[in-house]
Amino acid sequence: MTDTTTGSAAAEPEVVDPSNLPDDVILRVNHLVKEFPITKGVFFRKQIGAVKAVSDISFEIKRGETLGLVGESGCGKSTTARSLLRLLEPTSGDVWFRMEREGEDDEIVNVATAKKDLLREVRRDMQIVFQDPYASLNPRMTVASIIAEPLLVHGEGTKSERLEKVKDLLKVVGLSPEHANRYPHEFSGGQRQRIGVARALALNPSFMVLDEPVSALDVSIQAQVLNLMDDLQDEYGLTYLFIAHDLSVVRHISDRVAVMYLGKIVEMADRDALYDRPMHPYTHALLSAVPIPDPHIEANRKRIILEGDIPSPANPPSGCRFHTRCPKAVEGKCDIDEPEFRELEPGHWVACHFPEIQQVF
Amino acid sequence: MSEPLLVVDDLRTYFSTEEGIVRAVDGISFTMEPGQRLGVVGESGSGKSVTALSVMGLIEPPAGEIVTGRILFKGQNLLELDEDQMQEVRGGQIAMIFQDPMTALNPVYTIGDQLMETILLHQDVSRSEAREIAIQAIEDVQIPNASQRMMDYPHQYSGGMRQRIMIAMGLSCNPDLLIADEPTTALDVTTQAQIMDLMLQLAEDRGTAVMLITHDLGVVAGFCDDVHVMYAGGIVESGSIDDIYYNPQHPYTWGLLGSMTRLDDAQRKRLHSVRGAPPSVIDLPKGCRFRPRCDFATEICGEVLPALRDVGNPGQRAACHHAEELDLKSMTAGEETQEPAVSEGASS
Repeated sequence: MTDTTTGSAAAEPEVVDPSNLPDDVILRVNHLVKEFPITKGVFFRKQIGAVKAVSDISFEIKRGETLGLVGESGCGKSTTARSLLRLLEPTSGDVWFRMEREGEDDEIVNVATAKKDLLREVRRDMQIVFQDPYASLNPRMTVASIIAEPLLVHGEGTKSERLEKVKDLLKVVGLSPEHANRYPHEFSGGQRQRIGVARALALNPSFMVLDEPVSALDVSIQAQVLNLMDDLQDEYGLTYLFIAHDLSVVRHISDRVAVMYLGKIVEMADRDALYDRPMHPYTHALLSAVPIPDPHIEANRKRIILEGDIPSPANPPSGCRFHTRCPKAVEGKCDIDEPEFRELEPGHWVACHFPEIQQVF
Repeated sequence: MSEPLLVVDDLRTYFSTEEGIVRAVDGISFTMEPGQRLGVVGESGSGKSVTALSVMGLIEPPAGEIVTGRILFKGQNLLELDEDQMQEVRGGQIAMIFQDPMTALNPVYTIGDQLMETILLHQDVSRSEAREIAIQAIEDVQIPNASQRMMDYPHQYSGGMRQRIMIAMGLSCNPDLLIADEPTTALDVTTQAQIMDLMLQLAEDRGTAVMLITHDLGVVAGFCDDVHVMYAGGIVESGSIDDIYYNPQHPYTWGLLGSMTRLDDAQRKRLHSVRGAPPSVIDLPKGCRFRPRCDFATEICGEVLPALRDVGNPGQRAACHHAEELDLKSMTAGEETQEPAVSEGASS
């Protein structure tokens, strides 16, 4: 074991002493659980079950790094993001976040339990960019008022100072200050996403969640936004949690990658280790399914085609959640015992009874 | 070669809107041979879906109109057919699969009813025979318990299963041409792999020609023989997949390839992005439509719309004034596996 206790999901829930958080770690998620109740009845509502969207996941993010969180629809990646910002109330678990203030000692805050005032304070440092640049900007507000809103909410500056800041931010994200008085509908998808990024940057956050920020964009525009995210990270030393379903994009942007399946992290490793030496059968299947824009490579690839569909998170399979679709599943083992999330190589964590390095492309 | 399956000749499909005329497809020509798998690649608004809808006769006046052009399917001009005759062709000889299988299926009828409706409409069979054909079609797309699943409604199927049903429906009348418009865009990547695999296998077994419309150059690389790249209503480059991926002649194709993140790319180099955004198809720039975003544009590009002409490898065509001078291939990032390009300077 290294000094970090990242994601030892099957171990006893340890009480993390926040003062133990290594200096370079900005965020640690411990045993995060988010369940959505399934209710029945109109007058006497009672809970008859729960959708276990996020089931006990743990990870940490170091300052200045990008952690990519990948998985298919319904795996819980967006719920994870929203729970750790407390846009959704986590069912249980801790989200330790390092709040840095100039000239003062860092304060480690548990976002999952923080009271209203503290939460408001910590949210200055944690921002989010959403997937859909059409839905996440209010069509009735000008670009200036959209970007200035976080400043207004946190009572920063006078009106004219805020407008100056807006103009600066527009330049930073590659738009023109003249755009300030226009409305979102006057912009293309890529430009709207830049506006969303400018809004997230307004309060000088240290940590940003990027929830599928380029999925809705055309390829040539995707590249522009990805380059922008890279530049901003270099410029401001930002830490990213990058959520995406596109494994090629994640390889490009991330330093480390975590793969989710049905509410669990099944594998987590440094980027190249995950792509070049993946160990979990689900990661194998996922990687083998991604097309590569190169006809000669595609002609010689062997795909691992998974059987069936993702099971319902309301009723996840027993044992290993992947066993119903896993080509390697062993009856009497995988359908009964839940695999422990183990560190098999330094920094390479896998939750599988039969992990095996396999090159898939 | 026998007669081409499909000839599209100078097709122009325009839509009238409050802001002006949208020239969604503006003068494209191409042919498809029987059994050919053709990729039509482009970003949103490039006109690739409108091309498909035009071939299917699904452009509804007065909003949209095919202004000029001919669409010859097995020698017959589809634009001269009346609605009844078109109905015969559509679904029978040319079938289409849409992006969103949920909206393409009727939620109040069972899967079996909807499959049988298509079969009864196009084939001279009894109800019980149609039922047999439908069950076989469901089995062909590898859905277990076909006869029971006939009685299910669309909502009881997952997204991938629904797309399988759409394929079953499309292929149930053994069409000569299947048009698939972004068939896997709404699906997860592992499901996408299942569906593309299935389509490839079925198309090869039956010799069905497929026009695959997509924005994803990765999917095309594993499925198609040839590719058309569309930009702002026109075809800017066409050729075999090897031509397009290893020897692009148009700066847009080249830029698109450079913009793509690749699963096998271990270096984290900066992406070559195409600057700016596609033009509005209401207010197209004069001359070459790609000029405002092109790194190589000169004076002539702002004056004359370049025609698609032979350039690069034999059979390859591009619509660029400077294709010969540019040598984009040597600037293309990534592995070069193609033999040296045969330079053909002739303009058509």
